[in-house]
Amino acid sequence: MRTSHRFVMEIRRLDGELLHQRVLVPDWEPAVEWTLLAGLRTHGIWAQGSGAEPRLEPLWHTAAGEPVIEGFRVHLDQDDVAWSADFRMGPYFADAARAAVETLVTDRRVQAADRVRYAVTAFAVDSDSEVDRTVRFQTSEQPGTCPVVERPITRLVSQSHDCGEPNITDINVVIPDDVLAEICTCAREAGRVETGGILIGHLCRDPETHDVGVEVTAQVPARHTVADAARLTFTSETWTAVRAAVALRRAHELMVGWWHLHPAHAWCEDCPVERQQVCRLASGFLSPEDRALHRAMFPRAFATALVVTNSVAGLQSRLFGWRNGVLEPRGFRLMRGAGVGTGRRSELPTLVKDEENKCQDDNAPKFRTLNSKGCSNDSPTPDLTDRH
Amino acid sequence: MSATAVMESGFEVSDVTGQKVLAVSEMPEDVTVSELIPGLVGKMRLPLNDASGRPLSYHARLDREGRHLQGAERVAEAVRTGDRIVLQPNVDAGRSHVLSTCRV
Repeated sequence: MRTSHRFVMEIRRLDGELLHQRVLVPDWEPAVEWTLLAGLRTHGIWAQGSGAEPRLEPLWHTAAGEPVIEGFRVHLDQDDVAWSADFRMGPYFADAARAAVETLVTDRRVQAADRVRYAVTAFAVDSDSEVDRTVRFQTSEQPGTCPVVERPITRLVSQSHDCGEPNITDINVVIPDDVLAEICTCAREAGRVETGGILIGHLCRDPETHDVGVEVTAQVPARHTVADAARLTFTSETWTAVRAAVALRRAHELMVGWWHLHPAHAWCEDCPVERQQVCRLASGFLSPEDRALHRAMFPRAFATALVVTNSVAGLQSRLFGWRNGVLEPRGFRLMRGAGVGTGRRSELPTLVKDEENKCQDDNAPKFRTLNSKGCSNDSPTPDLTDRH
Repeated sequence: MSATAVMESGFEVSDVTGQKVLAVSEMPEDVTVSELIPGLVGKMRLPLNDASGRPLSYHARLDREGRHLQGAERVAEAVRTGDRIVLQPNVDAGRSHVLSTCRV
């Protein structure tokens, strides 16, 4: 990523007192990936490996002006076609701000209940093209390593129905009910420990409508993992096994995401049932570890993470994906009777029913409860608000 | 300053998904696998650390031989022209942070 700016985060009390000021080392990769996908959606171009380096431009804050930013723009170009994508400062840097505030809380410079503001500023620097002289070899990105297949994704979408939390900016992700049923079976069989797997399928572009979407074709259960009730480690052997399984299918499928189980019924078994029903842990969420795994393994803007939660309410699923460079809950299209996978049909109604129940419960105040054991669903981090 | 021999031809390195592939070339013959991996992680824009800030453990798997390369091995001795190495991390999913907010 080329940028001629250095980015600095400031955190202040509401009265303006400066609490924190530090140079950011942002992870631009999700933004670059989102811009890459935007090229495919708008121009039919997959610019990876084209040799064109993404370029980043600060977007100055409308009211405060330079050096305060309200976002940034990533530019890409290939074959004389140029495009860009804009990213808002608030969501993109929220994790970095939370981490900084947690440190301030730990250092007792602010109280957990305090409210603070944060801002990101950008300052021109001579060049960001510092050569890493510790690397003693040359590399070049290989083009065309993300095959996009022509497939009538629009027809698949028309044969399926909405689940989860759809957003019009997202590409469609089509998941066959058999695949979900298979995941459901794996989740039930795992009992009190976490388990997971890899979603495989195709990144598709409709030859007629040019719509881009993901068709999930199967899930590969993760083998050789290390798991307990609160942790699931995908080992190097796990990835070897998954790659072997994908190769054996000879269908040129991509790893398009992953899924894992949250055995909330085991986490919360000492809590009263009525509290378990409204506990944050019983809802689908991505922990910081889950997010880090997704960033490490699935940075592609089309990759998704399915969280299956086994709680007193039964099995619930929630899909997350990249949106403007940030991981967010998202929707998917459930396709019935696809005939893919080997899951037992008898498992399916529970999963689908629970999915519908989850949607109905979305308005419940499940993130604001406190149980008798101090099982707080409120973040210990002070509220963060944009500075301006 | 002494000259170091360089591998004549290159090889490929990919991430686990196979969607990011780099061609590696001009590799000095004394580069070890433990030196190769962090360089590749940076070049492939993969994260160096996990959610807790601990270094992620990446393994270099040589597909041709179906084994993980050892850190002390010299790349030039283990890898042939046209080989593909896959960077495979041990990586955690979990909820340790959430768990800590859920206990008295």
